[in-house]
Amino acid sequence: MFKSIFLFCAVSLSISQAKFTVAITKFVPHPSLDAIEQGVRDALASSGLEIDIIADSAQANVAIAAQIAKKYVGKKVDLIVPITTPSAQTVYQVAKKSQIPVVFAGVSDPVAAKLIGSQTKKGDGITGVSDVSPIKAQVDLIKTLQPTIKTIGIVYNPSEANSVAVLERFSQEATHQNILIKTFACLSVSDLMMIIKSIPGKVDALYLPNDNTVISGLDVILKNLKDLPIYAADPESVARGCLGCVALGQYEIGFKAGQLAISVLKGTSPGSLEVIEATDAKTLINPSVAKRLNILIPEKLSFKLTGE
Amino acid sequence: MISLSNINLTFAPGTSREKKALQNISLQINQGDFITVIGSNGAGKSTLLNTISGEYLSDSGAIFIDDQDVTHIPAQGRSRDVARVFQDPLAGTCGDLTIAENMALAHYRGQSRGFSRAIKSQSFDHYYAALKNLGLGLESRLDTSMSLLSGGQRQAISLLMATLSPLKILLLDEHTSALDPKTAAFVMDLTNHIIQTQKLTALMVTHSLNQAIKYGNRTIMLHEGRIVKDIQGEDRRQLTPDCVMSMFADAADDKLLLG
Amino acid sequence: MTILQFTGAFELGLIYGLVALGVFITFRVLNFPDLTVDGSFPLGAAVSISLISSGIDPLIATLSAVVAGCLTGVATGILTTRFKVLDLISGIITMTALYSINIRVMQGRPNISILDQQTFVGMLKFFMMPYLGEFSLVVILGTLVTTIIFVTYLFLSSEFGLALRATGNNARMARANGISDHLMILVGLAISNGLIALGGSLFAQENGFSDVNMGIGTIIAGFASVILGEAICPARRLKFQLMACIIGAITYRSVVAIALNGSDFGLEATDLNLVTAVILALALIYPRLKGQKQ
Repeated sequence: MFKSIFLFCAVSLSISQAKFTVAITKFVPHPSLDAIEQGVRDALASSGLEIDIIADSAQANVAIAAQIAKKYVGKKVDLIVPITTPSAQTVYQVAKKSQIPVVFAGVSDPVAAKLIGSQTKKGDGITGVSDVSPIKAQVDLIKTLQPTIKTIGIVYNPSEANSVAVLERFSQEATHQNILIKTFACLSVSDLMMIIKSIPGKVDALYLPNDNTVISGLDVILKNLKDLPIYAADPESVARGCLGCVALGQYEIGFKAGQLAISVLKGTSPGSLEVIEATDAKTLINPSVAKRLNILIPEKLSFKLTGE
Repeated sequence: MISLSNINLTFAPGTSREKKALQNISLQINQGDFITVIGSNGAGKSTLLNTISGEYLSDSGAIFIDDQDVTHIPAQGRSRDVARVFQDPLAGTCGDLTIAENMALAHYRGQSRGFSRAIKSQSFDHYYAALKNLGLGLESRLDTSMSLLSGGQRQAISLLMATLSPLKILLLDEHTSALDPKTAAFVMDLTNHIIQTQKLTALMVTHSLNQAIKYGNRTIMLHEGRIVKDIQGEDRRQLTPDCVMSMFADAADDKLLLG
Repeated sequence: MTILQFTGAFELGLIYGLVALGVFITFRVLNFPDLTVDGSFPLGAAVSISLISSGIDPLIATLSAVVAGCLTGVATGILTTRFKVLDLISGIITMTALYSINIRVMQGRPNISILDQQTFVGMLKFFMMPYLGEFSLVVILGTLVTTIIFVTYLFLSSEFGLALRATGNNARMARANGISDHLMILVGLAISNGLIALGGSLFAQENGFSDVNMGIGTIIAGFASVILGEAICPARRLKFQLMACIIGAITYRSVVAIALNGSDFGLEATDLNLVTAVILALALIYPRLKGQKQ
């Protein structure tokens, strides 16, 4: 009973003041996660509401993520935006008991994380933007640029949940299109060199998912596999020397999540909002790499070129 | 009775640091013998003790404790019969544990240890009484950490600890050499007292000629891994420091080895 | 700091207190630097969460986690006693292997969620909630941890436990008294890692998921808790030393909670580690300064 009285006061207070506190937390500082956060901030800034933002990073430590969740719920913020799956899980575990709405971003499989129902795409007091990689479009791109392709290799870290999920879907899609998949598991950046040595001759192209371990070793991969077409899942990697990618803009994901947050702050119940699956993917190709590999870019392919 | 037959032990065999620590050692230790062991540095005295205790396993030969062949049994297995007091007072006790805890540890030497309380109240009284006999006032400090005691106090307690549980042989490895003269004398007297009253069989390594002659009923001398002299009975009673000195000189000349 | 943050730090401190206890048993009692910790903590999480998500009773899942932890301790122990691998390296080898083993235990998925399922901790909380409200978890964990400390104390004061302590303090003397130092090392490592796996299991159940990267930084947190505990309650008596582990863990988590509030003072989110380090350093230096003045 005490809780409902308090809630009533809080709600009436918030209506009269119209000042909100939104908490944003990401699991670890990282370029794509930082871009998501910026998108959220910009969306909130353009809302016309008076919003105070507090932000924390869990330094890749689950215990700290749990303490961050407690901090926000204890402070009784108006809304929490967790970025990445472990942050979302720790936050939701605490927030769901306290009626604080959660809008997540950067979670690739919210159903598996038990944040939302698989059929309804809705959650109890939680909603958000899932950024499932546009796998089909990526496989299509590879097939378009290399029509005779037989085998695609994938380098990934099996301890990163996102990578494993991407791998499963990529394999399914590739099999669908009669392409063989060869996987190269890499547990840490120091193992990368050895794994790279075993790749030449086994595959016609390489796909690198948005995997922290692999991306941190990108320069090594590019330097040692100069003659192999390498596809990435994010624009920065293409600029660094990959052949091409079909990617979701991380900033756009954050912005969409921010817009969802605004609806919730304005009174919509998060349980009524379906999770948005980010879909506006853009194709990006690096022309100098294409030229070096003697790959012809078909006229009808709509794409953007990387700036040199 | 403890017997060693043709014991050989070589350290680092086949390398440039190879050392034949014990060469063809044969020794019969009788019940009630109190043997002092002398010899120059590197003669193999400590190695002999370590081989009897099982810390080193011999390369060849046999060791029997009464009728049991213990040649291949390491220290833990022989500990029921063999008790030791080391040269370094810190080596024979656990500094982080209290006096009572150290005594409890020694109390179960060689026995299997269960999950009942380590320091039982009856044992506590027993330790109290044993310490009281030392006359050092340690009985009132059973709960103090061992690390707060002096070297002499620790050695005295080590001696008590060694005899808390029944034993077949007591090995003393220069156990007073790290103490100042007064304390060394005290510990030596204590040692002799305990050995005589409990009629223990003991082997004591010493560098002190006086100690070697004054105590015990038998003396053996090691040189380069061999027993070159074994003096017992009347000869032993007549032994003087000068005799011992000339024994050392002879050994250095290798006369004893050849003749 | 809000009440929720405080109870959160307390609960986390109790759970990590088990880790600190395990670290104390190996590092301090047994004098064995055991790095298996970073692997056994997430193993406890992986085993219990996998079992719970497959429908196994949460209590059995928790106990299985403890058994799994004990086995990892035995593995490290065998490496060092039987195969004479250096103690530090043995722990590293087991920890490295566990990284892959944990993924296997989770059936190839690096992250499993059970947010919608009943856990052992959840069951107890549900039972206690009407009486204790917000503090139910603290009381439950507090009771559990206190019981464990008591049992550990009884064990370490037993004949066997004394032999274990002797092995850590003076292995040569222990051997001379008939103690099998190999057996002691195996038992000590088993108990330690069993406790740590229990901590991992409780943590995962409390947060509703297991992630294979959960273990990173556990040994550091455990070690910091032990050291902090010793600085706050220096004690010679064993029972106080054991309690100091828990106190140290709770203090460590409170320090992190305070540091998290640093953003109120204009600090960046990324300064968290620095702030934690400074507070820890002060906590350790202050008693020394105090001692010098007297």
